[in-house]
Amino acid sequence: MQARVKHYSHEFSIVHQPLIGAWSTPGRRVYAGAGWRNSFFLNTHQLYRNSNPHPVMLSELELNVGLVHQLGIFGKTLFWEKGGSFTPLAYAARNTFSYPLSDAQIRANNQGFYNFLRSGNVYGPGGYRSATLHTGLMRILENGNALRMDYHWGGHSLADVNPVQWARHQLWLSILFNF
Amino acid sequence: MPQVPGKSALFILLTSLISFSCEKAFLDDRASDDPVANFDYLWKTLDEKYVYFHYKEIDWDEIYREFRPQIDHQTHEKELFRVMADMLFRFRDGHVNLYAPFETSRNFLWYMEHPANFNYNNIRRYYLGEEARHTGPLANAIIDSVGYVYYQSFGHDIREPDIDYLISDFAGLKGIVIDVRSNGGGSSRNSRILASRFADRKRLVAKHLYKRGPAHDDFFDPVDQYLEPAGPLQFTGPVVVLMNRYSFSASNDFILKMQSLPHVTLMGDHSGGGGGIPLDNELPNGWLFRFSGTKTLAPDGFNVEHGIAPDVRINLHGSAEALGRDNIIDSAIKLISEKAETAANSGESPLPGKTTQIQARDAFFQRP
Repeated sequence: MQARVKHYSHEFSIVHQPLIGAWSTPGRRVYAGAGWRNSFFLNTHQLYRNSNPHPVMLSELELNVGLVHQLGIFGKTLFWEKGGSFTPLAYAARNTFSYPLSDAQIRANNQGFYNFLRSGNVYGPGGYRSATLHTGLMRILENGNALRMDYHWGGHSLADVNPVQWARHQLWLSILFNF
Repeated sequence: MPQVPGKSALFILLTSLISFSCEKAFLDDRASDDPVANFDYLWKTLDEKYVYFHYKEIDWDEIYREFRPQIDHQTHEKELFRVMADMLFRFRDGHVNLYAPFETSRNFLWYMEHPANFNYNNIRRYYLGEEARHTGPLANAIIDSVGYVYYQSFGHDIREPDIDYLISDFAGLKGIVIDVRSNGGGSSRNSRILASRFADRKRLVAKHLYKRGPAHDDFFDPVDQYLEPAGPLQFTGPVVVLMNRYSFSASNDFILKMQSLPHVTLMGDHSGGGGGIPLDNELPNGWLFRFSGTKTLAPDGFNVEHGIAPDVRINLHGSAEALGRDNIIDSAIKLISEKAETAANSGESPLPGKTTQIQARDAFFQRP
């Protein structure tokens, strides 16, 4: 019997990382700031009949830091960035302990998404632990646009009545436009 | 020479992009085949999420001490299945199953220890007969001015047009018999669709309890469940629901809803129960299992896990059965006829709600 879990995720984040001039040098720049990350995950087990779906909504306030080194490889100028984040405060909504609906959805006899969103709780570092690390290379093109390739890792733990831990590896290929 | 983007704009642009991506969940299909790990996972999950420990007076710790020594790290998977299935049988719960690739465990004692009170062959031959109509999953016929409806499984979906047609067609009759004997359940959505066509007004019909945490008695406050009239017309004349010990799960749910309606009589044997919603889970070795994950109470607090008593208890007589008769159906038709006659003699409208129903039917057939 083969487990069949379908996973869908959607993420939206805004990060503000100003240059920290005091810590920077001509070959190394340091950025630090904060961000607002919103994630939605939906896991569905295809062999379950009454226990689908398993949604998770996270809204996180995160602190970020990044270092950018300027490199010269084969005559090309590249920027190597590494950084990470830590979440001190988060709002998380999930299903109840065993039933595939949130408490607010059950109360309202309604599976509406808004009822799901408002059923969450606020968690501090003791309840929700989240850290991310990333590293990547960026090449700025002559027209001002840039190409990036990044590796991201994130580890997350929600210590609720129904605890859950997960980690993600991601490879990003990005095109940055210089407007 | 290109400059390191000294402003934050580039980073804001980078990270504020709404990103869609392809992902694969790295879930091991067979995370562990260790028999002990699988046994412990099954026991612990049920310990935290099964809902009837107190109601059924089950000492789950004692059951662990009894069954856990029967397996070790070398136990063969078929022996592991047998031990797990034997342990699950202690629930005597038709909603508790273990699904392995080679076998499925299921407890049928909740109805096999009781008379069947059902003979489909007689119904098919002598009550539905050749003139029977099949309106969606609802086999039906008119017998002595009484509508008879046989619903084999709540797993067969009822469409709104099906029930619209049936109710409108039965509107002028003395009453309706709905036969859910040996209907082992299916979807409670079908239960609601069908029952709502017999509701006269919004009524409290049940209370659901959901687990809040792992303790055996840790539940949220009960959540009231209401039944409201639905669709273009409803039948509010005399209705008899036929039930037996195999009327389980969604059938039990339907009977519970109908029990709250004043014009409905429950007839036959006790229903089979199965008041909880079965939830699914998966063992580390990939086997699936399900269990009762919620509790259902009647409005007065009665736990319907072990079934609902009929208003009129009657068993199928072997002598009648041998003659091709179903004395339970006959009794239901007789009861409806008597109610209609009594109403006529008392000067009341002979068929409660008849005028409304006929008007509603006319309106229904005149719809574009």
